[in-house]
Amino acid sequence: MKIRISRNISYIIVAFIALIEIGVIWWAADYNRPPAMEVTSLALTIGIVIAYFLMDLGKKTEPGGRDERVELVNSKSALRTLQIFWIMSFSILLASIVRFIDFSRDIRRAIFGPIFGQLIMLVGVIILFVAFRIYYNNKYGGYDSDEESD
Amino acid sequence: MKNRIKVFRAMHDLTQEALANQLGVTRQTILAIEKGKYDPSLDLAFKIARYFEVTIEDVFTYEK
Repeated sequence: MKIRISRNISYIIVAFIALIEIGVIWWAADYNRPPAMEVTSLALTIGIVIAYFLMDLGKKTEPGGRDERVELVNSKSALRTLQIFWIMSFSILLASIVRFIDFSRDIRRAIFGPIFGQLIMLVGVIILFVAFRIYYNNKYGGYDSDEESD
Repeated sequence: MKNRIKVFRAMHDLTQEALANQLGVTRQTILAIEKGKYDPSLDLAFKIARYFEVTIEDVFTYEK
């Protein structure tokens, strides 16, 4: 029997497997005694093997590689994901800082703590985005001078 | 953008898959262009026209 699975479905199943793996790691950290380590190692190995199998199956079901339309779909999806991810992360982190300050009454720890570090990373994402925009704008002639403006 | 790829395909007795293979794109791309859901790049538009040995205007018609 030949199993057929689309690429999108394979991505979603792999994402769920990753969630389960995070759950197992969480459980192992919480349980913190044998056989937590063994179970985690086994779960990670099985997860990676299944994920590899699913991705391969997706590629076999939908062969054909990449072309300009696929590139466009991927780049638009990536940009939209980045936008939504950034807004969600920013909101969650901001809420965490407010809660932390409210809980600990220690503003210095809130400012220099790990939550603030993650906020700096989010700002870093914007800087990286701008850097790539400059790079690609330059690559595709955005800063070239033309005859009319000389 | 309107196009006559389907007509040219029929004239050349070509399937979407065969045309896609000749042009180095996926079958879904040919399908999307034919249905008017995707406007190809100039590069691909010229490739399509050259493959059928016609001008680009014979295959594609610009419409707002």
